[in-house]
Amino acid sequence: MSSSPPPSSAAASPSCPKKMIALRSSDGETFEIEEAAALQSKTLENMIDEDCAGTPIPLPNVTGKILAKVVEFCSKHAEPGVDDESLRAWDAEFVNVEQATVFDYILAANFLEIPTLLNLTCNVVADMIRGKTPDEIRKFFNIKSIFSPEEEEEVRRENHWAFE
Amino acid sequence: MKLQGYSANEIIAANEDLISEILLLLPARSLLRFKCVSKLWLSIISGPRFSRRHARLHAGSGASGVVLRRTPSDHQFLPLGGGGGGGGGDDPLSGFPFKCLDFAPDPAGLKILQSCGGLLLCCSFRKIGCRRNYYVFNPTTGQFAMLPQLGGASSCATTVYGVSLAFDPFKSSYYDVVCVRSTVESAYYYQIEIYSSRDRVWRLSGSPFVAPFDMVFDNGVFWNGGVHWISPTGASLCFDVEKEQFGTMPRLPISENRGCRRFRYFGESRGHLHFFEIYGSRTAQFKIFELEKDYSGWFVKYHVELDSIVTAFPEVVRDYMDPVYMNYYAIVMLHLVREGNNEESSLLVHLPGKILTYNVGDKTFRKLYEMSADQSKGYGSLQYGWVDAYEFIETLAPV
Repeated sequence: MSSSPPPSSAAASPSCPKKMIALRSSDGETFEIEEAAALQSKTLENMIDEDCAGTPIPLPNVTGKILAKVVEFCSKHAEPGVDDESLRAWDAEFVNVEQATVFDYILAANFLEIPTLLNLTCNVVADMIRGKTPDEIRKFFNIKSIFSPEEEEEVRRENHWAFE
Repeated sequence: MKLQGYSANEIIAANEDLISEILLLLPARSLLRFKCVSKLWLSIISGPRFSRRHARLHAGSGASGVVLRRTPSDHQFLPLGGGGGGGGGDDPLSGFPFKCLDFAPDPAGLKILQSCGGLLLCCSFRKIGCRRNYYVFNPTTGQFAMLPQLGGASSCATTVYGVSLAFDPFKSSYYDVVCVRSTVESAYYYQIEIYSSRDRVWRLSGSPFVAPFDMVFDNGVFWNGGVHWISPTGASLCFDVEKEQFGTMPRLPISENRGCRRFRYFGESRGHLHFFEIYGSRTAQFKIFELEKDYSGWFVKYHVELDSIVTAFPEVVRDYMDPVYMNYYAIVMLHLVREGNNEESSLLVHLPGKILTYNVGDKTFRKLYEMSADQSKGYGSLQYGWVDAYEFIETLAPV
């Protein structure tokens, strides 16, 4: 009779200590994260598979300040037994930070391929810009428009009713 | 955080994938405004890949308003309270893309046949010397597609009995158009032809079929993956577009004591198929039925009582007429708009010179639109019927 290996689970049992992964930020800080939490990031998942145990994974695109928060986010989302409503409330608190930080979270979530964090932060930005005028959007993202006034006028005219 | 001298927001704005993720979350109307932010944003928002993803993601949006056709060149837009997911609670959505249906230069003029998922099926009027053309038009984006001519292989003249648009953004950002036409072989047989926006050609579907003697095919209603038709005597047919086969519908909930039928309504809103009839010249109370998704039967969804409207607007009662005349009450039901919250659904009711919205949940009503004096001139007091009312749903779906 064959038996299959027990599936890995997020909860630790006394006989199976949680595996910790080490991460190093762009400014040299080191952080530890449980494997289960790290698997929320597709980037880390790929790196863990091909790894060398022990050496911290370098993340040159993420500063220590942001990485600390990302670790916190992934750890929370890997916790067993958290009901949807409290998780949503926790998420809302997590993104209750200044704009610049939300942008940093987006870049980190994109680089580390964390769909839950990316979706959460994109929603925050979407809510921020929903009712803005094109001018306000350009200021918000610091975009230099390369439309000529005539080109912009034509796009406006074609969609005039959306401005009413 | 600065990378290579750029701040995070600048990096995001220049990254097509990231900006798309954010823009996908916004309603169509906001995106139309954001087309003029930059050329990159214009190309993202107008691109077919983005539009298709957006259309499917926002498939649940309800109607932000109802378009009324006064004449083919004069449409009136009635915004519905709060919008169906479009406005998100901010400014009243009064803007509407067209007054006159002139998106394509057709010499015969154009009219709306059907509204489905935000797309409009339109056709040109019959005009001697001109071919009748069919179009699928997206009023939100202004895009339109003219359908190729029907009955390709057959050189004989075909009679088109009805054309219906089948578009379900939940399932796919592509649409089908179902045409019921005559066959060469026999006057008793019909044939279905289907056009798909994926292949952009018409193709025959199935063999010729017979239908109940009085079946009419020109007001098909697309719901639950199928096109549904009913006949004056209450016969019904439904055609599953994906499986390309006919199914059965339960009998219409028609009243046994017929009497004189004053009005019949058969229409769809937000994924629900409705049917109701009003008998008797002075009836102000009736039931609205909905069809179960598994076709097991019709059930009573709402009880409508319009007595309060008749009391509040005595001009509704044409007391110069004999009460046995069917138009003794000058009330016309225009459209039943379902909301996400069932209790907020509303019935658009047309009285002389005005349109009211009747909340089917708490049975209250309020004025939605008042026609100006010169608008009413020459048209009589009741200008619209339910075939003149179409839901406007904002969508970026490509045509």
